[in-house]
Amino acid sequence: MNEPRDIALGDLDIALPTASAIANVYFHAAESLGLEFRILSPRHGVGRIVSGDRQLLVYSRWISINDLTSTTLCGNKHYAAQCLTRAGFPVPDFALAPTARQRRREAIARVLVDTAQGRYPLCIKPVSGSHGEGVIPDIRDETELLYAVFHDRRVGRSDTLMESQVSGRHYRVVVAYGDVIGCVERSAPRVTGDGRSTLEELVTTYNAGRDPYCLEHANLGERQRFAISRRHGVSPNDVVGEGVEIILDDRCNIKVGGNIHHVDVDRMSPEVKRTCVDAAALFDLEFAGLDLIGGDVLEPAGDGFMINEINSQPAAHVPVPTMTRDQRLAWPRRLLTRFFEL
Amino acid sequence: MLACPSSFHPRDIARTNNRYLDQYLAAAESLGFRTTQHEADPRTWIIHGNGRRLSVRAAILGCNGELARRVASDKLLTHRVLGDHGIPMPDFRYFDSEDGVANERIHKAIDYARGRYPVVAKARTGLQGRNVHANLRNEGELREALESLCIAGFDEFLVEQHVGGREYRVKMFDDEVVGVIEKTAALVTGDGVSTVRQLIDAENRRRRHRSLALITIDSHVTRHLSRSEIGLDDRPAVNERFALTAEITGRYGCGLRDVPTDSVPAAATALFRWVMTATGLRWAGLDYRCEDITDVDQAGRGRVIEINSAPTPMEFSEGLSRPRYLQTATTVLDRYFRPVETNRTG
Repeated sequence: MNEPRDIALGDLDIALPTASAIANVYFHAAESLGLEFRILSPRHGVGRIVSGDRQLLVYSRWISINDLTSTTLCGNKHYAAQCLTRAGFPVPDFALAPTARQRRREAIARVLVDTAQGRYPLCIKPVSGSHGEGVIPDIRDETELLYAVFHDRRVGRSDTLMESQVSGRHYRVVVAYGDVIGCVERSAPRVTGDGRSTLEELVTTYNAGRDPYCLEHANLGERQRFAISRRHGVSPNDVVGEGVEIILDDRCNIKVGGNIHHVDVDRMSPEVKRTCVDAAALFDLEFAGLDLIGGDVLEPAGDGFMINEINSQPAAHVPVPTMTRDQRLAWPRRLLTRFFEL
Repeated sequence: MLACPSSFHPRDIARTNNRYLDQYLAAAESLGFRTTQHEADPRTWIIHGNGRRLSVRAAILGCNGELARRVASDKLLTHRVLGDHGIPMPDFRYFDSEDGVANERIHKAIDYARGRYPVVAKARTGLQGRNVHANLRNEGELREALESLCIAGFDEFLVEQHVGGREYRVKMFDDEVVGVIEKTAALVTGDGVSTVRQLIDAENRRRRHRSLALITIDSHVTRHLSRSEIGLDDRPAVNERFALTAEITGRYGCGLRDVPTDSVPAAATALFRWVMTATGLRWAGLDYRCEDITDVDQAGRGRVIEINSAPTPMEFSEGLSRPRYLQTATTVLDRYFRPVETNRTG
């Protein structure tokens, strides 16, 4: 973990109280609201925000709002998908592949291939996990599925949720205390060719714009190279034609080099907002992050969308080049305002 | 002592293979609350009451927050969070990679401990007394303890003052003391004939028959015995009683004595409430050391040693009646589902 630094970082021009970029967002939000906070462990991103007789503990990406029952109720992605389906919420078609009981890669592959029959293109994800770890989207055929099984040891460690691939825009909607308090559109890491640079050089340039303190780099790993080669016929040493856009990873997480863009919650479709609030309430979550895939959330009725995941501990947004400080602090500020009844 | 002679046995209420979960399920039933098994995780049950839900998995009750649970299971964060509220804890220092590689770290820890013995060495994370070495009296013992922690992969550790006095497990729900147990080190008594090993085996046979926690012979036990110049093959004299470990935890089959909650003075109760406020836990077991928790002058002068976010509602001991066995779990559920506004803050 990096040490706390007192630097200007992008649009952020105040001291960083802890080494945790995510925890710092809450402390900056508290500061902007005039709330008192105390740092208990700068190296571990631990601190306490206080107002009157109320207090909120922050530890890196965790804040003390939801209880374990709520987390338990939505912590298993298969169970969460079942609950959402039964309650009539739109979710991608899904099936459970019981891979946890299999020891050998060949056996895991057999279970996944059998479950995948007639479901391509699809996405596989471990039934429990976060930050997109172990998630492999846009698997288009058996070759790609087998490649995933034999090149990623995380595939099949726990039972695997297999979902039909949903195309569209990716959003993270944050709900707190029965209200939508934040929304960002997430985008996969991508580069555009200039007719001179190789793919590897374009990726290096892309990563150079991301501060390593809080933004993970896009990685041209084996799986990414395999997917890019199949989709675009390009390898890392090839020059990418001018204007040709290459998606580096099908996931949109910051952790894999993705980006986020601010969405004004006041302009969001009331139907989308109501659906998100109701879905959080289904799991007794007072604070939740919902991942939506589909049409524009600003359009009436959301223009058609699916709830891809529900998260009981959504992380605050670290400094990114695509959002201003005020935009990033908007929902943490709303959250603190509601929590402390300001 | 609230225990009374009875023929009650925990298997009388068994519905699952976990006795703590069974306690909560039986308590829920006695309160008229519905219980269902979690569809995705059969080891988790959900208790439904007054329009609310509460998950239970083994001794883990879902009323605590995820973050509060993390703080309680991380001994460094426990120190930081309680220290921030001025709650008395043992003096300590934390060692990690900032202090160099393992050997340098151990060297620095030994330097720190000079003039502070006896001390306790504990891994930053760990449950149920695992990776805790208590009452280390000299450099040799500390070095041995730290080396064993590092070998086991726990290269982040704390060295803290060993606090004397009696050890209590105080069970709190919100701001109420719902149970107090005095814990004593596991003891055996010599008969002049049997070896120490045979005495422990005999004690474990007795305990197994009564579903009590067993005594495990490991390096903690052998080290503690060797300090007292007792070997596992020695034959202690008739009625010679001795402790088997310095660590007082259920893992080593510690003795348990029920302390009436109404005998805890207000000063101590106020301290325990402050711990709950500091951590944001709603249900917790506080390990507390003081001379006598029922003494008005002594009770508030102890030190909080550790916090457990998933305490056992009640350990079974001989003679415990069914109502007493379920009393703590029943009180906790009753308080949780009581139809009033509750503070879930952290």
